[in-house]
Amino acid sequence: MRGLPSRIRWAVSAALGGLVANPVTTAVAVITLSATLVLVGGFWMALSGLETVLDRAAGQMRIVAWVDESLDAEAREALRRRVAELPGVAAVDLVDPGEAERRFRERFGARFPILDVLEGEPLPASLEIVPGAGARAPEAVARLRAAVSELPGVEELGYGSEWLERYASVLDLMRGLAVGIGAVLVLATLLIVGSTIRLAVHARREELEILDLVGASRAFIATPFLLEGLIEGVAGGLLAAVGLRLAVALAEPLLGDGLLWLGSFEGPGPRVASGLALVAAGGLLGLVGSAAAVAGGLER
Amino acid sequence: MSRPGRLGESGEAAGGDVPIRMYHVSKSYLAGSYALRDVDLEVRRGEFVFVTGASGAGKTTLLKLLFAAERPSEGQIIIRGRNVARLRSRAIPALRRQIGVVFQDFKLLTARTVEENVRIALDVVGTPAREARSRTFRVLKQVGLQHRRHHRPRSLSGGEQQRVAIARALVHAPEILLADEPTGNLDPELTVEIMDLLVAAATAGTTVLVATHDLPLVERYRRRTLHLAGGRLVEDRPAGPGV
Repeated sequence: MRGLPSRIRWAVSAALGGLVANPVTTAVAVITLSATLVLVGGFWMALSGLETVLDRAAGQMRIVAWVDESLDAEAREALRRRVAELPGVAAVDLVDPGEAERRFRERFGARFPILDVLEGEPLPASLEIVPGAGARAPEAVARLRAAVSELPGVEELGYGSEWLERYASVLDLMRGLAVGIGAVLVLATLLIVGSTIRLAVHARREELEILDLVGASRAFIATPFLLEGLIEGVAGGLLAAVGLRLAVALAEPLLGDGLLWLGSFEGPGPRVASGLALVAAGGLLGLVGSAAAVAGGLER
Repeated sequence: MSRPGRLGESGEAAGGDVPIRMYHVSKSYLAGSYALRDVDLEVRRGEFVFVTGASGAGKTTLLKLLFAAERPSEGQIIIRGRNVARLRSRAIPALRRQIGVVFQDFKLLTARTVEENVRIALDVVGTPAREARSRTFRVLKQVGLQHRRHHRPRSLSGGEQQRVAIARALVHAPEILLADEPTGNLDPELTVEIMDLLVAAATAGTTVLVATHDLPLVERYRRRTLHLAGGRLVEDRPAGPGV
């Protein structure tokens, strides 16, 4: 460290010295930070995975509008164009009676021979409406359905994705829980990190008194403690990232495809990004916790 | 007893030849009870001054007021042209960088080497590493401890530890050096050794105030002596002839 500017050299050596001199409190802070990040990170992974599932399902969602039988092919096409122009609509497919019959036969075949005994075009034409990416939330879908149902020529609306609404409301509840639990955990961690830094401040009272005597500024005195918090936080974040990765790796053979929805740990890119996010979150927690402790502990 | 002139009379920007001035300074910790009362004082640049008095006379309080460890209850303290009584907390470090302080109990960082203990006074002001090393070595040589620079304070004798404290107080070339009972823990031989270092600092132009209750020591050096009793400055005896 000989080439470093004197203030940085002092801060780094004082911070490392403090961490090494108090191994138990340092370990408590790092483990607490790590445990919090594992819990919050794990919950976040699960939540983001469930959201991915919801997005994928919502991407396959279709609103089916049955068309009035009295409309001819030209009128049906005009209706399709009107629906396509509605806000929130990504695409509209017109399924004419012939196509509907073909699909029915393909799906059910000889099990339901009812079509053989009916004359003419037994199945009505329909419009299959694909909501856009920004219009898949339950409220947006309801608005779109209302707009479609008001169009002349639309007889009835079908919607086979009611479960999505229930899924989305469960997800909303989980998000609320995640924020609540996360806030409590983060607060508890800040208190613990703050306490370890307060202990460090107390243990180094004499050193602080001497620094004060030789004219050290408040920033000079505080920097090693902030650095200690930051180092503890980063170490806790690293531990949490490794721990979560190991947990996923251990769970994979046991749960198999059940873990596929943990999208945030799929592929090397997201893994690194998730790990870095945990390390950054740990660093931030450590820094904020120590800043709060130092602000209270270094009153002149 | 010499009396100071009016506030700012000399007009020097940074205290000029009189770096320490006190005007009617009192310090009270409890209502009606004074640790220091109505003290007027001027100390000139390069002057060596003893502050004497019995325990509780106000010696330590006087020094603490000078390096802003305490605020006066009344009066004004002008250090190098700046009124310490009105100094904001954030300006105190800058003041202390102009002052070296030595205590009876040395106040050294036990986990740091002698060199690091001395160098800290330069590190806090961001002195470049090479310059800090060279200045630290010079001042350690001055106090005769250059060969002990990599030792920890606990492996040194009391006299050596006090020399480290003096080196730390002098390494940033302060204008003022305050010493509170610097020889209180030392035997007579080491006492003389430490006092000679402090006198040498004054000879080199540093204003030195030494609080002590060791009257034989004061007689031996025959320097200007401020005598406190019950918080009042009761005598300001000039230096003996030939000093």
